[in-house]
Amino acid sequence: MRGSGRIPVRIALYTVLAVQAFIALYPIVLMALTSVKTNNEIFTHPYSLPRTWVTGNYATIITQSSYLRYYANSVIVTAASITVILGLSLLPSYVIAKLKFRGSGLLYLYFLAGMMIPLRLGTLNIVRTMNWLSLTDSLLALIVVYAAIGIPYGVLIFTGFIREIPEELSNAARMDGASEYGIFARIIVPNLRPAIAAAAIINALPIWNDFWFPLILISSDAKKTFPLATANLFGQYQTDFGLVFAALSLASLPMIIVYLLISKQYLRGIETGALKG
Amino acid sequence: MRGILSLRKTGVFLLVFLTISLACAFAGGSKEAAPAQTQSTIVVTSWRTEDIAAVNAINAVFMKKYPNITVKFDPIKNTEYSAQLQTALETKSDRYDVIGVFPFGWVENYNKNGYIQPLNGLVKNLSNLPQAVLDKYSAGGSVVAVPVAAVAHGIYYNKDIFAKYNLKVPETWAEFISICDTLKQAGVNVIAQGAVDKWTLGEGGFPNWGANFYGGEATRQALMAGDIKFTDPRFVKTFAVLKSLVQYFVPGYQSIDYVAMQQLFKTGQAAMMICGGSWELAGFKAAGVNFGWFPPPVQNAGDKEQLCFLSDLGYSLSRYSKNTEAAATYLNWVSTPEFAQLFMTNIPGFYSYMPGNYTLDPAATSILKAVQSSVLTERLMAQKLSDKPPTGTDLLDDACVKVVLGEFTPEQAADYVQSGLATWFPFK
Amino acid sequence: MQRGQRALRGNLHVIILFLAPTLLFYTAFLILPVFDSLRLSLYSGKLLRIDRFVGLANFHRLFFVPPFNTAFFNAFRNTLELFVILAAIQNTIPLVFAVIISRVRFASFFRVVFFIPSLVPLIVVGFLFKMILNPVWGVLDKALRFIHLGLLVRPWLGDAHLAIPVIALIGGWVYFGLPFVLFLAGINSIDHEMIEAARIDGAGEIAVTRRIIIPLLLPVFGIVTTLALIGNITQFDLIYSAANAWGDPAYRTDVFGTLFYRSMFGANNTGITSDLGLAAALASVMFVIVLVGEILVLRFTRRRGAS
Repeated sequence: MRGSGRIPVRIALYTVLAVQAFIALYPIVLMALTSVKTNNEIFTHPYSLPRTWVTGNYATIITQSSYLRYYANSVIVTAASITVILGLSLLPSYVIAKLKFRGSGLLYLYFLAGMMIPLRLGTLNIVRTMNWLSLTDSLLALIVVYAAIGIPYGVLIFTGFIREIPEELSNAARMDGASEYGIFARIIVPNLRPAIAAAAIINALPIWNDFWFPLILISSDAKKTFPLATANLFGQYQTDFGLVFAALSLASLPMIIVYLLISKQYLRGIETGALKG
Repeated sequence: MRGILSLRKTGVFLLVFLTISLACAFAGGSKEAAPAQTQSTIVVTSWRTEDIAAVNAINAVFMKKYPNITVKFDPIKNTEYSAQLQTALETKSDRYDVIGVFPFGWVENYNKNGYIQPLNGLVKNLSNLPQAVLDKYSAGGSVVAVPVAAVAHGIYYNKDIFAKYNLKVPETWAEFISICDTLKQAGVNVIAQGAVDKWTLGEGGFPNWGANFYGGEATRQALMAGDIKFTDPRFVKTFAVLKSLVQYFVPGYQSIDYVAMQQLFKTGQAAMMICGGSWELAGFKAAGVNFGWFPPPVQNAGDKEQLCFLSDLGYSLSRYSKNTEAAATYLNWVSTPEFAQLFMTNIPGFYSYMPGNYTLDPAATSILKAVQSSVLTERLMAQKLSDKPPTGTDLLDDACVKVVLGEFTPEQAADYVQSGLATWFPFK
Repeated sequence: MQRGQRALRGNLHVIILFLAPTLLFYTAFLILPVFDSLRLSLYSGKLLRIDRFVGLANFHRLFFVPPFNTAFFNAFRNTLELFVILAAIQNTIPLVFAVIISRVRFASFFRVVFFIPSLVPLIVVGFLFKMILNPVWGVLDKALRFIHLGLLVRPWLGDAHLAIPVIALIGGWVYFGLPFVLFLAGINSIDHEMIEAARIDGAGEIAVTRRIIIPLLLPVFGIVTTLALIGNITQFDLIYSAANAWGDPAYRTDVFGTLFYRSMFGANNTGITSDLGLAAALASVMFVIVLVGEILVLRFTRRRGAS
C-alpha cells in the first residue's frame, strides 16, 4: 500500500521527512560553508552564505601539515585491516559451516562472543602487548587491533552465507577428486561476493573514523591517521575558525563523497549484513 | 595440476602481503637510521602548539651556528601534553630528546620516574642563571631542567572600549568594580571568562587577581609550611570575590571555554580578560585588538601589589634520548643571553630568567615594569601542594568552578580544598 | 552427513590450518586483553610497570575511597544517564522514520540522506556541535532568538542538567543511520500477508504498527540497544570533542570512557603518572556492567510468539 493514503496525511509525512533531512544535512552544510568564510564573517553572520569566499584555508592545511600523509595512513590502515579481517574470517567460517565436527558449535559461539566485548576495555593490555612486541607507534598495531575487532562479525556473516551454499556443489566437486582447499577456493569463495562486500563495508566506516586507538597507540606525526591529526589541528589553529572548519570539512567530506558515489551498494551492503545478523 | 591457490586467493594473499609490508615500512616505531657521523637530529617538544613558527625561527639561529645538528620542534596539544608525553616516556621511546617541563613537583615527579637526566656538569652554562631560579627546576640534588621562561599574570583591557566610556586603568579593587558596573550598565560584555576550562579560574584566576586578597607570597609560604589551612578567612574571602565577579562574566559563561574567551577579547567583543597571562601578547597583537594590561588591583589604596609571576617552561633532557651530546649542546645554547633575547623577541610575554639587558616589545616591557615593582608570587598550588592526588591544583580548579556555577558557597569551597589536601598534606 | 564426516577425518589438517591462525590471533588480541584486565586489577603500578600485588585494594579504592569513588560513581551516573537517553532516542525516532519511509515514495532518496550523519567522525561531530551551541556566536542561539524563542536560550553544554541530555541528542543525530537501516530492513522482512490480513480486518495504521510490527521487531530493538550499550560504555570521542577529557563542566559530562582514559595516562598538568591497578579495576567493572547489560537486553528482546 505504498503511496496511497489521504493527501493531508501524505503532506504531513513528507514534511516530517523533509525536516529530518534538513536536520541531518544542515550542520554539515554549515560546516562546509563556514570553512570558506573570513573569521570576521563567522562571528557576525554565522548562518548566511559567505560574502567573500576564502579558498585558501584548505590549501593552508594541506601544505602546512602532512594532511595527505594522514589520509594515506588512514587508507592503509583501513584497507589492510579489512583485508586481514576478510582473510582471517573466511577460513574458520568455512570450516565451521561446512565441516561439522565436535566443538564446531562451541567455536562458533566463541568467535561470536567477541561482538559483545568492547576491545577498548582491554586498552591497557593492548598498550602493554604492543610495547612488548615493539609495535608502539606503528600502523601495524592499529591494523592488528581493528582486525581483531572485526573477526567476530566476519565469522558471523560468512558462516551464514556459506551455510546457504548448496551442499551438492561441494559434493560434486569432491566426487571429482577436488581437495577441501580446492573446494574452498573455487566453489565457496566466488559465491561469497555479497558477503565479502557486506563485511568490508560494515567494517570500513568504524575503522576509518576511529579516534581512540590512534590516540592511544600513535604518537609520531608521520603515522597519524586523520581523526587524530584533526584533533591536534584544533589546538594549532584554534584561533582561526575558518581554518578549523576547513579541517573539520577535510575530515568529513571525503567519506561523504565516496558514500554518495556508491550509496546504493553501500546501503545494500549494510542491509545484507544486518539481515544476517 | 592446479595449485591450492586460486587466482582470487592469490590476489588476496598478495594484497595482504603488500599492505602489511607497506605498513611495516611506515611502522616499526621511530627507529631512525643511525645518524651519520656529522649529522644528528634532536626533537624538542612542549605544550606550546601556538609557537611553532616562532620556535622554528629561534632554532634556525642555533642550526646556523651548529650546522651538524638539526632541531625539530614537535609540540603536543596542551590538554594532551601530560598524557602523551608520559606514554612516550613510559615506553622508553627515544622520540623526544628535549622535553618541556613545569617546575617544582612536576619536574620532581619526572625525575623520580626516571624520565629525565641530571644536568649538572652536562650543561655548563647553567651557571649563568641565578641559583634561586635553578632551585625551582631541581630534583634529587641536581638541576634537571634549564629554566626557559616565566610568565606574568594580570588583566587585559580593551583600550577602545575604555576610551569610549572614559574609563581609567584602576588601581584599587573598588575602582575596578565601578568600571565593571559602568560597562555592565552600558550593555557591554565586561569580562571574557568562562567556566569550562577550569584552569582559567583556579590557576589563571585565583592566584592572579586573588593574590592581593589572600596575602600573596607570604600566605603562600605559610600554606606550604602547613602553618595555615585553606579554610583561612583570607581564602574564603577570595572565593567570595570570585563569586562577586560572576555577574560580570559574559552571558553563557557556563559553556565558554578558553579559546572562546580569547576570541571574545580578540574580536573586541569583551572589555576585559581577567585570566590575563603575558603569554597572550603575541596572539593579541596578531589579532590587531587595541589592548592594554594592568596588574590586578589591590584591595586598598597603598597596599603592596602581589603579582603572580610564575616560573613556567623549562627544558629537560630525556633519559631515553639517543642524542644526548647534541641535546646538551642545544641546552647549553638555551642557557645563554643570546637565546634569551631571541626567545623574548619572538615570543613576547615570556620572560627569561637570564640576567642581562634586553630589548623587549613595548607591551612586554610595561608588564615587566609592573613585575619589578611588585612582590612576586607563584601560582598558589604549584609548589609542594600538588605532589600527590588529590592535587591542590585540581582541588582549587574544581572549587572555583563550583563557586562560579553556584554549587559551592565560598566557605564550602575552602572546606573542599582543605579536606582534599588534608588527606595527604602535612598540615600542622 | 556421511560425506561431511568423511571429509573431516581425511582433512584434519584442513581444519587446523583454517582455524588456527584466526583462533590464535583472535584470542591473543581480543579475548586476552580484555580478560587480562581482571588479573591486572589485582596489582599496582604504572602503565608499563607492574609494582606489586595488592589484591582487592584497587577495587576498594574505586568504590570506597574519595576522590576515586566520587569520580567513579559520578562517571557511572553520567554514563547511565547518557545510555538511557540515547537508547530511548535510538529505539524510537529511527523506528518512526523507518515506518514512514516504508509507506512513501522517494524512499531511496531519504534513505541515502538519513545515513549521512553517521559518516562524520565523532570528534568532528562533537566539535561541530560545540560551535553550533556556543553561546556567543553559535548558530542555534541566534536562530532561537530570530524566531522569538529567545527564552529557550541556555548555555547548552555548560548547564549541569542539560549537558548530558544535549550530548545524547548529538549522539542521536550521529547514530541515526544504522538503527534506521536496521528497522527498515526489519520492517521490510515482515510478511506482508499478515499486515494485509490485519488491514482487511479493519485495523488502522497505528494499530498495525503497534500490534504487529513492533513485537516482530523486538530483536532489532535488542540489537540497537546492545549496540548502544557497547558503544556507550566506552564513549570517549564525543565527550572529548564536545567538552574535554575530564568531562567539564565540573565533571558533569565525565563518563566511564573519559575516566578510564585519565586513569591510564595520568591527570593533566600535575605530573601525576598513570595508575595501572585503578585503570584495570575500572575496566573490569565496566566489563561486568556490559556483560550484565547485554544479558538483560537479550532476555527482554527474545522473539516472542509466532514468527
